[in-house]
Amino acid sequence: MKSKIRYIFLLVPISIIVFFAYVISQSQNEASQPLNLQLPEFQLQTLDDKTLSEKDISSGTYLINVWASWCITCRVEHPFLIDLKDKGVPIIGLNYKDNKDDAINWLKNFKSPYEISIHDFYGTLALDLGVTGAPETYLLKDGIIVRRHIGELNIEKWRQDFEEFF
Amino acid sequence: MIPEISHLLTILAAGLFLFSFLVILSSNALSSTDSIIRLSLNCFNAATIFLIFAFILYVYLAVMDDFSVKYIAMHSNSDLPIFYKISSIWSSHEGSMFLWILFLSMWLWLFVNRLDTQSNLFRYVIFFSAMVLLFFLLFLLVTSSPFERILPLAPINGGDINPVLQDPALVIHPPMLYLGYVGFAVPFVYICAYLADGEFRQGWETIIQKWSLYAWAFLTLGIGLGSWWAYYELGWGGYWFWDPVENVALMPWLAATAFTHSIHASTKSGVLKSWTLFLGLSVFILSLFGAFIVRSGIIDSVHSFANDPQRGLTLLLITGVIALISFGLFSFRSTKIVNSRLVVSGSKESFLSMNNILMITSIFSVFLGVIYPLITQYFYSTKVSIGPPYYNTIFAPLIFIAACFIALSVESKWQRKWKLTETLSKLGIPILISCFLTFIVQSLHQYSVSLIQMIGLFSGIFIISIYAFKLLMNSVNREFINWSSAVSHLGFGLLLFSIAGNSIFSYEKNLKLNLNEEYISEELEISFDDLSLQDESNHQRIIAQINMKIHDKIISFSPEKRKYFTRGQVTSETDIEATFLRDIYINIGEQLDDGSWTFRVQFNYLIKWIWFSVLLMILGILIRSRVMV
Repeated sequence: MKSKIRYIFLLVPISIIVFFAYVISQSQNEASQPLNLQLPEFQLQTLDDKTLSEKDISSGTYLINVWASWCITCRVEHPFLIDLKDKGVPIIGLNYKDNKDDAINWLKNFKSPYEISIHDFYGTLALDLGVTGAPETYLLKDGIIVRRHIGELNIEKWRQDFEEFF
Repeated sequence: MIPEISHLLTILAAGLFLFSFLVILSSNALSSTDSIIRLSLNCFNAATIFLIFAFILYVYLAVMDDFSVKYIAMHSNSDLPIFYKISSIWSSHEGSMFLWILFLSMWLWLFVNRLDTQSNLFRYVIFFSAMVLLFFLLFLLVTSSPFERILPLAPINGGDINPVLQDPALVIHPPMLYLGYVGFAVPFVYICAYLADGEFRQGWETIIQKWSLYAWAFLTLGIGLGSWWAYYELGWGGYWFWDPVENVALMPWLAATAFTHSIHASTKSGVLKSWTLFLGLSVFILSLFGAFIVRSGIIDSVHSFANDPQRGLTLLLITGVIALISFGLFSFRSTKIVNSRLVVSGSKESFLSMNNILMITSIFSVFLGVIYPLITQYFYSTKVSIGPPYYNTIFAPLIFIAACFIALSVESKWQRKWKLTETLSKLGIPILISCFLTFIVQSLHQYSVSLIQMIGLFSGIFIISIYAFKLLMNSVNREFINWSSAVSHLGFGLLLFSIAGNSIFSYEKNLKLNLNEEYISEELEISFDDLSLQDESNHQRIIAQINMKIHDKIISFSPEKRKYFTRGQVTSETDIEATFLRDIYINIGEQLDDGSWTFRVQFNYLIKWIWFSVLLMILGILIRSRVMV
């Protein structure tokens, strides 16, 4: 083997390690984010063909949960959302870039944890909210977004950042 | 008291591995004597036995419902049947790590005790084995101890094992998978020892070849079982999802497959030695990488354990140190490795080396698919989801090229240049058969066949027909038949064929039915005849009775929904009517406001052939390991 090629066998693992160390340090930073953002204006159809705008949910406390039928993690998260729903937490679904029929079937098959699900096919509201992917959960209090969680919501995250509001 | 004993035994085991490691480390300076090597071997053996006892005690605790142990309290329940109490140990991070380390130590223990203590490599093997075990035991004890207790007041009933995991497959899928992953620690430590020793004696491949074959069989079985479980029990409606955790299991599998081929070439004709060494190290490193991805929770997946960045960082550190030591040894020592022969172009070895390159390419593609969402997320702040379209597009051409090289290598000879006309004349019939069959499927107008599906179908049929033809010719001419290769490659061909066939022929229907209502279409009639409720020890069942009339045959189904009391979780139990060619798969959905129920009916073709092909591949490998006795 040529003497310079050998360094590849060290450089590749080192760069992978550095990359993942960076990723882990980043994910620690974004664990919990207290926010203070106005809910963006929108007017969208829901999955059951009603129209919803930001004014309809401008008072009261809600969770907004970004989900999609193509999202495997959403299935993992699903039982916990059902628990929340049973506890009386109102959850608004934001169905993100999804086929409408698939989304409706998903809700039928797995039981819906949502009061209502916005069908954001083009991801416009999601873009305004700064959604990075599904699942993601926002806490909306009187028209202001005060918490945001990226990834699966579970009991620890819930207790840590969300429970106090309900 | 017993939890403490188990904990103490584990700590003692870690101490003994450390001692065994230090003995070798210091002995190198002093010029090691026989008695010193004996001493470290004895420590190593004692440590493994302690670890086995610690685990047995832990199993006992789980069976006896000792809920003062936090982990058992959180994941087991007194209502569970006994085998779920045991399997609850590996239903979450801490316990499964414990099992993983136990298997690691047992593999290495078996291996070092079969090695010749007089061999130069022996002390290095002990050294690296003790090092790897020490790292992981420290990880277990410091960051993820399963021995933590809830005192003074222990819960009475315990939490519950996740209902999805209350399945016979859980009892067996993770253990098989772990046996496969850590089994590759054997070639790993041996290759490290071989490189560290630096004398590069011949014949090292035969010592680890058989171990690698067994580990490969376990890994394949583990992955196959996981896939089977997702399909039959979890009701996910498919067998492979390109989920990140499936991908990180696939990477070591691909590396292991390349390794078993490469080591075969090295043993047979003394070529590709650097390749074999490199692949042998990579399999284990990729297994560790997989453990890191799953257990750090940085990638969302169905298999994720709770997200704990601290734990992830520690695992990354351990994996990184092990990877740097082993690849460092490789990059600085392998310059001295001399292949006893050169690869003749057009020989069997040359095609096997192409196989290595294809495998590395596919590992890299999967790796890219796994980390690409992370790259975009952290560097461009957008999250993308990479799914089946990416992997299908990447794999189809790779598989096609692989099929061509398999074909050429079957007809080529070791160390001899191929004869173009002779090879092509032997391949003529298989090529014709596979083109013809692919064309027939393609021309069935009710199915739209994409290019990717066609490639898969063609490659599958091609590989099957090559081997079938070869078997036929060799038995007519009474020539030697390599059954191991034939059976496993027939399995591989069948796997490709059934995956392609499944994606071409399968379809599904979503129905909404009231009780006693019927759905009638051209090809089938479905009636919803009954709905009943039953109470079980820890859950309630809703069972629907469905009758289906298809091709003048009446089949009855009873899909279920279960509601578990402890967690309130709802699961679906599908009912499947399985025939030779296809499965009819019925899933019960939700009750709608008007009182009707939703059902998902899937017609899955060739699913059973997929499991069968996996078994064939394993059988082929086992034949090989029998031959080698």
